[in-house]
Amino acid sequence: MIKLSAIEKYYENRAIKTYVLRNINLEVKPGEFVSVMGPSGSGKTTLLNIIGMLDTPSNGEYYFLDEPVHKMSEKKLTELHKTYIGFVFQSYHLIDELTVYENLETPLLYQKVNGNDRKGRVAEALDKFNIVAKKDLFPNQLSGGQQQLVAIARAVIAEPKLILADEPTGNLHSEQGKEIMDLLKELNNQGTTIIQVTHSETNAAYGNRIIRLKDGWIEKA
Amino acid sequence: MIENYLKIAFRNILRNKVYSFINIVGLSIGIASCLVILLYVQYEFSFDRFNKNYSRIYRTASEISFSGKTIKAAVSSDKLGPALKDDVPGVENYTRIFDLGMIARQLVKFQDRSFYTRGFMFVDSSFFSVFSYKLLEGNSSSALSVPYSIVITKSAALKYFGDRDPVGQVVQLEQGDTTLNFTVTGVVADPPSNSSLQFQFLSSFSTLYTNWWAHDITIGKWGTISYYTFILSSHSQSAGNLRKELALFTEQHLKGNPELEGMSVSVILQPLKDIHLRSHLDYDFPSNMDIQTLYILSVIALFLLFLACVNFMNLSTAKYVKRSKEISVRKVLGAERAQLISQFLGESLITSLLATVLGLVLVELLAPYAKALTGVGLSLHKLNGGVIGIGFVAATVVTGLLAGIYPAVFLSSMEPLSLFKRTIKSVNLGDAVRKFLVVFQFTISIALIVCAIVVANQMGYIQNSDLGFNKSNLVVISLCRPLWQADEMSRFDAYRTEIARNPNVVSTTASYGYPGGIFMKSSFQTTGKDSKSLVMNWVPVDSEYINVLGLHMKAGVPFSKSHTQYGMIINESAQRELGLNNPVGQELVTYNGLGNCKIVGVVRDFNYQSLRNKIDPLVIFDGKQSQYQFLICRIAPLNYQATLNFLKTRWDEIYPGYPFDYSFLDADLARLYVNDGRFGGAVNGFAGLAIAIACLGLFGLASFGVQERTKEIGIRKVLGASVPVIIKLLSGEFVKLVLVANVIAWPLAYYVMTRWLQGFAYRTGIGIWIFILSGGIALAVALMTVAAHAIKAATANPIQSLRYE
Repeated sequence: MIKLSAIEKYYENRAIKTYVLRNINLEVKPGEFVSVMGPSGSGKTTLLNIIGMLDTPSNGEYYFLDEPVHKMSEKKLTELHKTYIGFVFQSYHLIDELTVYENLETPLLYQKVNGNDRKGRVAEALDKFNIVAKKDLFPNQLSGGQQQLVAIARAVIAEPKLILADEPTGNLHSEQGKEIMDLLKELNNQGTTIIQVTHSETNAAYGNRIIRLKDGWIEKA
Repeated sequence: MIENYLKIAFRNILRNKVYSFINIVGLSIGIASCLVILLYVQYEFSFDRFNKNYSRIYRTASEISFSGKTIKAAVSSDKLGPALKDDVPGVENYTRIFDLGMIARQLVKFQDRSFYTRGFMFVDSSFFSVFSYKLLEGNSSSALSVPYSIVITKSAALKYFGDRDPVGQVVQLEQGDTTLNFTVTGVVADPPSNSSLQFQFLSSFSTLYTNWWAHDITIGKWGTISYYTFILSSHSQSAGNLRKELALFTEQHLKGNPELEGMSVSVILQPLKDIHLRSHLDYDFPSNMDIQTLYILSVIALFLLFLACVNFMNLSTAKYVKRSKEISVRKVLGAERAQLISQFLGESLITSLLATVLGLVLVELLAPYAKALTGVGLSLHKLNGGVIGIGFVAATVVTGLLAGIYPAVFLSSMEPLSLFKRTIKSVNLGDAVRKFLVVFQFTISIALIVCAIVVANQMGYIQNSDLGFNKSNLVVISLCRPLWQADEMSRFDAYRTEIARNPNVVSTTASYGYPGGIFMKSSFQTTGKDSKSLVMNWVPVDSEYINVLGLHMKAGVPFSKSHTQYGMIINESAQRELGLNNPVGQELVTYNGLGNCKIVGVVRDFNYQSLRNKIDPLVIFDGKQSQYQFLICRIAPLNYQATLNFLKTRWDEIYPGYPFDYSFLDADLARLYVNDGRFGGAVNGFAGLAIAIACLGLFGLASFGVQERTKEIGIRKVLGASVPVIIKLLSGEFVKLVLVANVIAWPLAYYVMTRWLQGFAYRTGIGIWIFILSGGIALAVALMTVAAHAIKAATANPIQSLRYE
């Protein structure tokens, strides 16, 4: 599904290159649940952003479903990421001005799903994540765990093949964290590929593979 | 999708109430002031266009050369119209107009009702076929064919006849001691306010050929150039062709014509649609104005709108920075750039829609103010629906796009990750442009504030300056009957004696003129060896004049009652210009039919004209009673109304059927400065507007600046900076800009105001305090605007601002 070869990312400042990622070679197969670990500043989030097409690598090749991402136009990238990829962030990133219902609806709007279909799918997601009662509330009226629940619901509503989760439980206490992890595991069991960034060995254990980053290099397993 | 956008737009407007309020109100002020000005401009452009045939109507004016001088006059001979219709192909019809009101106001009577009017005109019976004034009663082709027939306006009919049928009634026009009778043959709708011709009475032009008028040689010759002539061209005739034909006509009929008595006259063609704005001839319509003024106003209008848009843009951009997270999320969720652009444009369109609606409401609210300034009732409902609709949509779309396009395009192009990190540095028009805008807007504001203070100062000076006489408590009564007949003189004396019995009427004097009014001019010559001749103002008065007005004698004595010779009192200017060292007792040769007259005194200079003018030489004549036109009464300063009622009651008893026409002398004086007052009002309005717009702009920039520096402020606070230090840091930059604006504005305002003040012979100075005060006002307002943001940022918890790092 994902193939990275010799990916590098650096920032240039007055001819001094600061490397964030170095020589990353990585393959992720459909249905895998990969955990990316490593200390702060090791490049975990950058790697996730590159995979999510939110950031572009400085060097190297990136194939998504065998298509060369590194050669694509912005339009094609947007198309690709909105159809195949869902994001979950540590700080949820719900749109504050929209209700739960509307937050869920937004990705479908961008995919031009028609009205009735949209209603149906939002209702289904509300039901599935057990947040029907919260549908008219705004994000600031929810607890952190509830917000993350909405964020995951929003990430999966468009039925992506791949979910990228950047420390999804980082802002939650352990009880809520466990629920979220169970949920991700459940999604993985249903066939969704998941790549998560985490600091927690416990959370990492939910996955079936762990990649450790250090100073931008992948450590040998 | 659109529903979603609308929802979020409205939520944003409601969530940031203060912000949205300022943004919408700011834009609506810009739209409203732009609209008010454009309405006024549109009104001025609409003059005379209500005539169905306006594109085919021309005025034939005259270019007259005599003894080396050339003048252009709006009038022509009464013979021109008929001759053009007969001889020039393409002239379908003509109408001549003679405006009696241009000479003086006229007294028109019906039974016991009598009023003065300036709208008394003589016109040909074709008047109604050339112009589109609507005849409500009577036959348009025959109403004005017979001498002494008259068509009156609806409002005049109501005033004179009330419920009675006007047609067939006889009204009287007083001309000196003759009374002319006119039979009403029709009623015409009042001319619209945008008509150059403002009439109340239209009499038949043929009346002018009867003995009353034509016993002079003032009509029926090519050389008597006193009448407006309007022609209606045929549909096929172009203006260019018509000009050629008129040149030919001039050649054939006017060149060397003995009736012209040596003048050379050629006919000028003026399209009716150009007269109001582009014609500046002698004897032209008093309502005419200069098209340049309208161009300047239009530019100002668009400029105001532009500034409001720029400010809107700055404010919106600052607000969008706050929404960078939303933009990022939307991008992550798959929003395309075009979708984001349309979302933000949509939002700014909604805001501009609200602003336009509010702007339209403001226009209606501003209308009375605009009327006070322009004398024109401007209102949106005077426009037709189509124009409003188009204007409305245009205003909304133009401002919405103008204001929204920049933030929309810029923000949507950002990488989603950089938005998450809140590191937007350059979401602005660039530092230089930003500073320029602040300096520019404040320069204009400060300059206008200076102007407003100087104008107010000068008006106060006019109001309070010592004119050399006591202008308060003086009632001026117009004498409607000429006094050259013995019975009228005794009637006048009877009235005067009668009112003098009231203790509240302190004293009275009769005269030809009074300060603020009209004076006669004549030539005077000193006697003796170095005889000197001078044209001076002069005014016949009675012996009480000096005392009643409260003039101060410099030499000699005021007139005495027993004095029966034509004694003269001259003012200091006259003494100076005549070069008389010891004038009392000397004689002057007069050319006003009184022969040699003796100077009995010199009065101290007093301002009997506008303070715009220097005090001209003046000769005050004792006697010439037949010339008296006014009775001036000094009344006790209490219970005005009772005294006025008394004066009116006695008047009605002694002058039944004549209007009691009075004014207060100080009010008449104030009327000399009506235009200056309007100018002052306009300056005040613009100054207020400018400072409001400038502050809105500053508000936007300040909030933007504070947002950009959130992190810096946070760090400084963590390092121990106090709140005042941070406020100073944030406000300092703007204070500097306002100070720069002062430096530019002061000389600018000084230059403009010095020139304006030069129009007044008597004027105040421009003290340095005015500049300091204006600069202080601007600075204070600017500081208050910025302080709101600065204090908020300075007192915020630094943890908040650093959290995202």
